[in-house]
Amino acid sequence: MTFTITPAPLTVSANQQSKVYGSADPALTYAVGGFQFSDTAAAVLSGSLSRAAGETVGSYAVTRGTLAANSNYTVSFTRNSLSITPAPLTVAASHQTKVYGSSDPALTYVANGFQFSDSAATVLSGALSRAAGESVALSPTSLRRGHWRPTATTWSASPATA
Amino acid sequence: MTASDGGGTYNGSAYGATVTVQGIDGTPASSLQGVRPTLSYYAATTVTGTPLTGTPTAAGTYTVVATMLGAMTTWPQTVPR
Repeated sequence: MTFTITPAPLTVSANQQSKVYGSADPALTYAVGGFQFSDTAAAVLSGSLSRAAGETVGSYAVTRGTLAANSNYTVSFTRNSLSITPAPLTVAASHQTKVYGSSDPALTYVANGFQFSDSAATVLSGALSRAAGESVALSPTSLRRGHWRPTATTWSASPATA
Repeated sequence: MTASDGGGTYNGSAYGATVTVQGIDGTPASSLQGVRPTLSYYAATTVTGTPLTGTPTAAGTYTVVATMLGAMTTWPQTVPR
């Protein structure tokens, strides 16, 4: 006579994951229900989850990958997702000066926080702007530090130094 | 001898077949004149290889063979005349 011991059902649910753009992937973890007797994940499961490829900001499916149970269980898997959120980028406008009546200098900036091989050229678009006006404006800070030098017809300002 | 299915869903415990024997009076019992059948389990759908050392616990299909030597020798003594 033959008889059969059928595999027990095992539910495996991938956990929601997230990371900041440019950072390493978090561990793709899961929750398991249905272990019998004293069985544990370490004893029953092998392999690991995987996720859809991609490093740009967005949502990526977390799938079963190579995760498998031993022959005592039949796995029912629920997928989830990995969210990649934008990385912080700090952009500081550089101090600029010009002589009264001259054209504006280029409004430049210093940006920090680029990930991978990203650069300002590949990440940023558009341009800085400045408040309207062409008359001489005195910076309280510069005045306090005595860096304003009046001339006969123009005012020029240099950045305050420490 | 009558064997019944010992299968089920894996739960970490041993599953064994149940075997009953009956003498000439037809009453099912777990033993006959003090002799119990010996059960051997094979992890296959046929009697193949070496039997397991105990009752199976893991998921799979098993073949069970019941052997009862003693009853054969005592059988003539129970035949009513």
